[in-house]
Amino acid sequence: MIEENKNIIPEENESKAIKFWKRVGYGALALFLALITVTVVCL
Amino acid sequence: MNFAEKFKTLMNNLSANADFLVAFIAGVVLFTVLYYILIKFLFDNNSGWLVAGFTLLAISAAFVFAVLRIDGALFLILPAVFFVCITVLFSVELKRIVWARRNLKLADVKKGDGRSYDEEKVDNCISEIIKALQNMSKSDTGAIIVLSTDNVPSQIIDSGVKLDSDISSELIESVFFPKTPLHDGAMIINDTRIVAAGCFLPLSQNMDNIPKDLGTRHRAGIGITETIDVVSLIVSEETGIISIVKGGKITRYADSGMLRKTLTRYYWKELESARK
Repeated sequence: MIEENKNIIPEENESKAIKFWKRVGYGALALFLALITVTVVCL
Repeated sequence: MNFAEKFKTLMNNLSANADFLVAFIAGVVLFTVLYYILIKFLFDNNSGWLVAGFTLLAISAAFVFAVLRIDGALFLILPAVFFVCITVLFSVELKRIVWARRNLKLADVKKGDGRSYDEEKVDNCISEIIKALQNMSKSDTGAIIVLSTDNVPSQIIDSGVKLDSDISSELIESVFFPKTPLHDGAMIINDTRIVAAGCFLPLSQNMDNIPKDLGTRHRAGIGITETIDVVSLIVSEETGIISIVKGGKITRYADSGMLRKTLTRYYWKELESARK
């Protein structure tokens, strides 16, 4: 919550590769949940 | 029909009926987008555990529905209830997203938006604000300045006195001089103008994370940044410490370098984004 005398501007400390794979992970999880939802609804 | 027979029927329908297949794919795409937005929002707000919990709940519910042969349409209640819970739990963060607006900064001036300030004026504004903060810090004069991007709700501005003046250290220090009528409120700055002073801000709702030695002024400065995408600059009346608050996070003991960087980013953020 409190950062003593540090630069508060949120610097880009994550590499673009990590960000990309994070988004891929979110998308994969979202797709998995969507498949479960739609499949159960259609059964 | 048991689960296996139902699943086999579904597969047959998907392969035999093109309309059904299109509808199925459309449903999967739609729910994927919705779930992606939800998952990203939760992870961005340090609540990834909620995603794990919902995933386990969804898998468990799917098995229960399959085994007990419950009508599949009722399964939609699960994500619906989850969305409602998220809306209630994260109302402050959602409010911030809804109230966020694009900055109108020098990037728009370059495109001919009609604004009449230039680099020299911006540098002057930055210097005047820093000078005022440092002078008030030396004299232990309490102050709170909100750097807005034309996104402060009108009810907050109307709670104070509208000034619509140029930025000068003398004016800022005069406003916050003790016992003056406008000293006990926040000053709202929008671009190169002082919009209003003596404004009342919403207090922070995070009672647990804010130390007891931070008073109401700091809580107000933190609270406004939790609700709207603004930056608060606070001078403590007790200690003279200058703090910078953004997104509900406070950084104390800000020196002139940090203040200049914060203000430079406030004025030039959109210009940097436009250049990328």
